Amino acid sequence: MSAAKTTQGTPGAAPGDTSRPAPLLPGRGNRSRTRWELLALLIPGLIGLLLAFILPVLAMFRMSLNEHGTAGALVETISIASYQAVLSDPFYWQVIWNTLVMGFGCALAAVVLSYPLALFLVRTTSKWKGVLIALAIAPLLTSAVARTFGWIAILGDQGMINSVLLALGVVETPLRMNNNMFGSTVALVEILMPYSILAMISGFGRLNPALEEAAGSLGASKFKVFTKVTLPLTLPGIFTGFLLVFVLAISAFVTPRLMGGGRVFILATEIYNEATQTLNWPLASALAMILLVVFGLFILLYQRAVKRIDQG
Amino acid sequence: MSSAQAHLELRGLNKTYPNTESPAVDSIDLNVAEGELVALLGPSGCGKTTTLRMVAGLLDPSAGEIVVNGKDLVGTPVHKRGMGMVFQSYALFPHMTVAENVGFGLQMRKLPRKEVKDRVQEALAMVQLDHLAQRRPAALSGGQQQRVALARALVVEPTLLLLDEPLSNLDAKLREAMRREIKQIQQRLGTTTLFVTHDQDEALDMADKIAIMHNGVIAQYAPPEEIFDRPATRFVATFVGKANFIEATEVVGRGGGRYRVSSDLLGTLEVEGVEGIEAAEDAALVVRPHRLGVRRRGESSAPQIGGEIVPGGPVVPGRVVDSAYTGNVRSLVVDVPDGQQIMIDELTVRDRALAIGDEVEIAFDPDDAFLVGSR
Repeated sequence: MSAAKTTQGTPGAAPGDTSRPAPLLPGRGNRSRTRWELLALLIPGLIGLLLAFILPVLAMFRMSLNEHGTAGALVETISIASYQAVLSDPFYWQVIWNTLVMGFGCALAAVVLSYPLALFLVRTTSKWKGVLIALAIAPLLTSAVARTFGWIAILGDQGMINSVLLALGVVETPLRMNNNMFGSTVALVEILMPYSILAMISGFGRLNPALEEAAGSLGASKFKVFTKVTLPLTLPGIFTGFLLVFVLAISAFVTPRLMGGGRVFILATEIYNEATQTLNWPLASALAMILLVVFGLFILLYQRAVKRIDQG
Repeated sequence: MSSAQAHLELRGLNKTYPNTESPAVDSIDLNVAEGELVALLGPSGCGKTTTLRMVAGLLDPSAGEIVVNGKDLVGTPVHKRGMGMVFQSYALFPHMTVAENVGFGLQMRKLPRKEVKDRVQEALAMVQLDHLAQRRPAALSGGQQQRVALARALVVEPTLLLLDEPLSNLDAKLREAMRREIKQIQQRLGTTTLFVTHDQDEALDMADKIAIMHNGVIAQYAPPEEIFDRPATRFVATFVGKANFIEATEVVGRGGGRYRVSSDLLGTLEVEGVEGIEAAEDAALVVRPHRLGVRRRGESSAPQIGGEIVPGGPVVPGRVVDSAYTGNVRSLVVDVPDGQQIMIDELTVRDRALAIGDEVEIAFDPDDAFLVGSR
């Protein structure tokens, strides 16, 4: 997430904007010392990242190059057999596809649903603003597991919706809203919405009521004000929210596992299966590396998009 | 660029916010003639910005009419009013270039590309920024952003130009230069202009007429000289410039705004004043500190400093208790017999300085005193 955060924090700093005044640095003599002092401040964080992220990823990469013996034993070697196994199997292509579709679906739905809320929360002058923002992210106080069970109670075959529909005679047999991609997506969207709301609120910094008023005074109708001013200025926030929900959705495990009932095949659940059921750690590691590459690709795309917005 | 000269009239304009007792703008009337630049001047919270926002259409009035060229605009949405507004923060669109900012209003009016381009060029040339057309607002200085905002508001040939504290974010030197520039452009185009400010110098310098606002009402609406020399209320006298108040003990009307006024300090004088004052209660003489002359006691026909000492005018003895030097003016505070303190601003003269503790005599021309009533 660190990549998303840092990029989002500097939407105003358009690269190539040479006319911007140089940052106020202390005199020349102090310059190198200050820089070293600043770098020194990064060391604790860097050590944490090294121990908790980089080393495990390297270990996982090493594991993905091992082989899964015929008897299920781990064979220490250097081979790309696991990658070949994944990439030559249409099932795994389907899994990657499912993962991307679910990630996009969740991100799109969460952004569309969160946008009006975030816009309202940023603009409201109510004295309850702080409380309202806290309420919007309050669902995070409940664990994702508990909320997933809540969705099973709502969407299940004997769940709230189906019971009502059956009792009213609207449907003969229960609607399949659980144990499939639909249920997983609905639950994930609800679970991830607080994140997209937060990301958007912090990404709407360039929005200023005077800008919308200025557009209005220059003859822009409410619709034009939205498309010409509000939307362009909130795009960075929208992208941040989208990326955040996307990466959280494609890495989510609990909700797709519970809502999918074993019938939703995405990378996270397959990695879990390979690692704990089949005990094929090299394959699980290879899948995890592929997931990591997907992450990286989308963060790259996101940065390009944000750069383009800033440059117009 | 030209401008269809517009006439603005506010009739009983009122804004009362929910859950408040007194209105923010209390049924004001204001008449702005074609081509005039009128300043709404007052302290924060006096209702001046609320008034401007109602005229712009950014705020709905609770009652009253906003009549432009004979047509009531209340209910007309902001984007159909055809006014140009410059915001305190300039409100330039950060995602557009300078040229796109200036062209925005023309695009909204669906003008052909060529015409938009030509008029943007012309407007930017008017504020001497044609060389920065492709820059982003963030790459401009405060003064340049201000000029872009002005060009953006004027390029649409607005019926009215509305300025909301446009100079308050600039430093002092630049502010004075921009005052002249805005005034010159406004006079050249002849655009009827409403200008909100809390800075009296700005209002006195730029405005054809000033409306002094206080607690949601217009305390006085007059040209700058009249506001300064003939303030309508005590508030106006204190808000614009510095003022000494000498409480009246007896007031006799002589007709035509002239009065015979008695006070403990000055005896009986014949002065001009606000029309319609009937009682001495709460009436006071306003005397500006720089219209008072002062000399050391005993210097009979002294070379007077600052104001002219008129033979036969009242002379008051006193003692200097404070003295502040600001270069061209020395501001004195003098204790006078009735326990009051009088402020005097004298132009500084080389090698002559009255010090704290000096016994002095204050004198002035009764024509420089003006009687204000209880309001």
